[in-house]
Amino acid sequence: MWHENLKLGEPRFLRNLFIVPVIGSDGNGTDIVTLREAQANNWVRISEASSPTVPTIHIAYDGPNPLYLIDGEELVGGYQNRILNTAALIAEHSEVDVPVSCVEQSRWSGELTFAAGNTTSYPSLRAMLLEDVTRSLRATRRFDTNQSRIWDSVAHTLESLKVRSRTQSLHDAFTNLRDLLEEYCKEFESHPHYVGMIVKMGNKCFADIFASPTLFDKYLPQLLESYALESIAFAAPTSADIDTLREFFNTIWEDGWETYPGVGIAHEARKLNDKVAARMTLHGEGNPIHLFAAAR
Amino acid sequence: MILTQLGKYKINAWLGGGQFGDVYLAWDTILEREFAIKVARMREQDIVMLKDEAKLLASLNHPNIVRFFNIDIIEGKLVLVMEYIKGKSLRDMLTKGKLPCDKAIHYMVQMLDAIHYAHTRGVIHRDLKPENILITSDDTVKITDFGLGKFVREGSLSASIAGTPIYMAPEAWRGKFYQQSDIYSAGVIFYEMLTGKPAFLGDSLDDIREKIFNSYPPKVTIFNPKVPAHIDKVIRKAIDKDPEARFNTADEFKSAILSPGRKTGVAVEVVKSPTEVFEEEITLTPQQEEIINSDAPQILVLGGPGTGKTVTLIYRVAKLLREGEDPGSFLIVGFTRRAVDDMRTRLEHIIGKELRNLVIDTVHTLAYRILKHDGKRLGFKEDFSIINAWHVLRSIAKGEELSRLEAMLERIELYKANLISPERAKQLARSEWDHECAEIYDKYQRALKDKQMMDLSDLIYYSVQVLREPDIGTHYRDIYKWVFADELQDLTPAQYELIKLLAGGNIFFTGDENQSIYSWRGGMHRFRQRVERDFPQVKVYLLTNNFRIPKKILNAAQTLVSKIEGETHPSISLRETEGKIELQSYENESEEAWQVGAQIEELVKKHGFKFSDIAIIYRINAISSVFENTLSSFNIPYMLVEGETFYARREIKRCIKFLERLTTGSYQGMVDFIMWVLMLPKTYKKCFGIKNKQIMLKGELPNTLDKEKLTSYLERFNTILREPSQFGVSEILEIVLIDSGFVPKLKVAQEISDINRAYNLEELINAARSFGSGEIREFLNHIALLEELQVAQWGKDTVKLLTAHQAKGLEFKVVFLVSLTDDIFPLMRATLDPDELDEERRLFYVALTRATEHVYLSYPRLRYTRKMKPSRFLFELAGL
Repeated sequence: MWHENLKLGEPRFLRNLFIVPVIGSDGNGTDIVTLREAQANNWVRISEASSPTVPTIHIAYDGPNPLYLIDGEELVGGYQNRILNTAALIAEHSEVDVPVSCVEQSRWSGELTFAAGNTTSYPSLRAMLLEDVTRSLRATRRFDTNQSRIWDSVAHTLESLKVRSRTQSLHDAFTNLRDLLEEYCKEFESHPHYVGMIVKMGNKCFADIFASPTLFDKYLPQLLESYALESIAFAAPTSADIDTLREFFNTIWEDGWETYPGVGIAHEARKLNDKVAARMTLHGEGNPIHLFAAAR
Repeated sequence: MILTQLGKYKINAWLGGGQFGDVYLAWDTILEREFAIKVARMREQDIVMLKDEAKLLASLNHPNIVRFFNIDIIEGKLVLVMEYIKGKSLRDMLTKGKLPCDKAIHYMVQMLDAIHYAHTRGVIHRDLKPENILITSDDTVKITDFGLGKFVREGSLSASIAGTPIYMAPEAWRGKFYQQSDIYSAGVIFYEMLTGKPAFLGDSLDDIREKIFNSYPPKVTIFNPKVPAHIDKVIRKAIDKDPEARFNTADEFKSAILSPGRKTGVAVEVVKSPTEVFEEEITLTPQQEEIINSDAPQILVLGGPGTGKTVTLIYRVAKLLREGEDPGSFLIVGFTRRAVDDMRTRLEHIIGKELRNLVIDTVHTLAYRILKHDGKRLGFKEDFSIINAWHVLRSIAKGEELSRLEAMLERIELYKANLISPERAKQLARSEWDHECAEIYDKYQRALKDKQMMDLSDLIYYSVQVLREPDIGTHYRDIYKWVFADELQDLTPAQYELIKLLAGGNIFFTGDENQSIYSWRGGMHRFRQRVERDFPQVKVYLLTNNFRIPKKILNAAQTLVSKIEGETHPSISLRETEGKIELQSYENESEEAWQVGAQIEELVKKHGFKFSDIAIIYRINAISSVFENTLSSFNIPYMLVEGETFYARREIKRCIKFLERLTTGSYQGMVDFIMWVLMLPKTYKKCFGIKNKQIMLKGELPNTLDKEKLTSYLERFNTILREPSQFGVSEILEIVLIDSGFVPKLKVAQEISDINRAYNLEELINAARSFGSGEIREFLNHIALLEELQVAQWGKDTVKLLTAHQAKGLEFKVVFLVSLTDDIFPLMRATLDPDELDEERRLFYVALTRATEHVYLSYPRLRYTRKMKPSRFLFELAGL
């Protein structure tokens, strides 16, 4: 199993994030393309669906390797900014409709195309997506979310950050706090064998683990910023509780996974019980690419 | 990043952080005790400088300053070792909203003591903000990071929430720090403690900077009326843009806060009319003079809003009184209590004395008096009760769905408004629904009569019946030789009939058929025909000069009503100003609300308007929430004019119920009531019982309850239960609501809704005091007729949010008429019926004519993703 090749590194504080790095070795996904890379190379076109509708956008991808979009990744533009309801792995030279949710409540106009936001939703919002989609898949085999809850969460976050946004856009939080987030994140000391991290902020625990250090490195900046955003918005004293984090890590790998088709060429293993919500994005013969988990 | 072991310190938790560095709870493994250690983000040259400063900082020894013990360099990091304070930051407390005033002052006094102490030792904080102010569990303030502000990186600004430097003085933005810069920051923090809102917020750093440099926040007392009035001035001085204009020392600032200042007393203003125009300010027009001096015994005055109908009525009364007519022979009827009080005030001012014998009342109060005297003719005793129709109907029609009950109640009220008896209702019934309503109506009326009860519509219904008795009608007509009624279009046929039956000879009615907006509850739209039929000799006058509404707004309004079939009476504006009427469309509702907020901000900041000059008017209550949210985010103080009557407010209903129980001797619910006024949790209910009609304490009391105090209070409460007749109503309410501590606690609560409850309850007590001595039952009937006690905060400088119906009779310099789409205004259902559509048109006309200077019309093009059509009335206004 994947986790048998993973080790926990030495814990440390990055401001009020208590982080335990996850150490692994090079695995799958070293050739995976991120949305930032795809956009830089003009390999991707993201647009509203042919009849624009909130829960769906369309991605046309023309790159040489699979394109991976992380769950909660933000797309900016279109008729309103969106985030992905779940991770998507898009095959080279293919097109796919992707399930998304709105994070800009008060806009429904503009261009048809999107750009990469280079931002990812904060982890509590990703955890909300994770739970909602798991329930939806169980019931209807669809990647649906609870849009009102997402808007409420975004509004609450904007208010906590005292960010005034005319269209209630999550992206405005990232824009307004750009300098502070960069300061936060440049203190992170990476390592060539880090494949992920388990993070405790206040009494919440999250994990983002990738198949390889290369992949982790690619997503680290936007993930760190997303964690930083939440920690600034809802800063709470965080204890150096390594035991809780170890327990959380172990719980992730316990039995109880359910498998579902994913978006694009991915498939997913999901878990939702009273201790943990988790999702593994897999490819091919069950090769893991990325795991996101949140303690409950 | 730091590992969990830093030299001899084991890092156990992150406590807080800022630009300077992060604070951790650390265990000193050698000294075996806890410290707070700050791991600084500093450049090397700053570390050298800080070492020099360290001695000075370590010398600061004050109970309100976090002790600084040591400075060290560990693993290349600068570590400051400080006293560990268990508690919360002021920032944590402010996330829950504003603080009680006394607490805020308590914290400020300590803060200013600390600041003054540090200043006298040459240390300026430079970075005061709620994050740096810790509060221990015994409410001791501890300021942290004194002196470290100078080591924040050059060119960067001290970041508070969201990284914005909203507590920094203008000169600090330019890199200059003085002791007065700390005083400024303390002033801004004090503002936020008292209001729950940052003093300066903006969309961007530039926006915030602009506000900090060029404007001041709204007064504290707007958001928190319980704050002593002098505090506004104190804060204003502390946050002056010019450092030299601020307090010289923190000690001076503290003294200014603690000085007695002006007492505000009970912060409830007596309801005053929004218009206060007296004789010396009015020049009557020739039209008005003609009417006032007319010999015609029966007069009907027609005119649009702002044409001076009520003024003409008042001056007509004044003229007759001056000519020696007996005030007791006058009857003057207004539509609302506010209108009635306004007329009385004006008349007494003109005449120059109190006019006790002059009957000026609402139609309901008039009817109540008639029935008290003559209701026995119909089988009612003098002490009948006025009740809330809804409760009685629910008990009769048990099991009915609420929406059906509401519809039945509406129908019953319409029956009574049109003087249709239950028997007649059954005769007129056609559909199954008609039959059901008629049956319930019959049961309802019998039930009320059996219990000697009436609802508000019954007051009119039965008083008409009584006045139709020849002897009784004649008696009143002999008394009232001069009958005046204002705003006839708002009366129901029953109310009109009541006035007609009282009119002994001379009548003077005013009205405007174009302002008839109450036909949904029986209002008479075409009253002119009725008056001309009932009073064939009536002389009809038209007032065509408009004093209030400027030309552009008046022309647009009149173009709109010209679409209504029937006669209209255009008027000409006498205002010198043309006025302004603008129309805008917006992307969606949020954008609409945002732009309205921005425009209001500009009107107040740049064009000299006050918040109270401005109203946002909409068709239905549901529209208000998006505007409320937006006004909050702009820090614009507002008041939502609520729809429910005073009588219907929950806290008032509870008190009414309590008073009713005293009259019936029923003790059901008494324990719940006393727990409510004592603000005790439900789990304490088992501590109370009732024995021999007295509330007793029983069993083991929780330690949190002060048994002695509670017993002493219960003794007083029980004397009321034993012999309620020994007490006046106001005394009962004072014992129950004030001596229990209930109202005092609500007044200093965090939530605006609790503070409003306190005002409402005080109004109830005031009403009892004004009522004077008299039995509880009398008082309950009396307040049932006082439907407008809820405007206690009307006079505050706040933007008003209200529906078009609520706006009737009011005026504002600037009106934003919003959400004007074709399914909201007019309502969708009205578009299917020409009569209803005309009523919506009249309502629009009323809303439009509330403005005396500017009208801003707007609509959203999208309601979420649904495309909306602009209201057809917007086209009609333009003559299209």
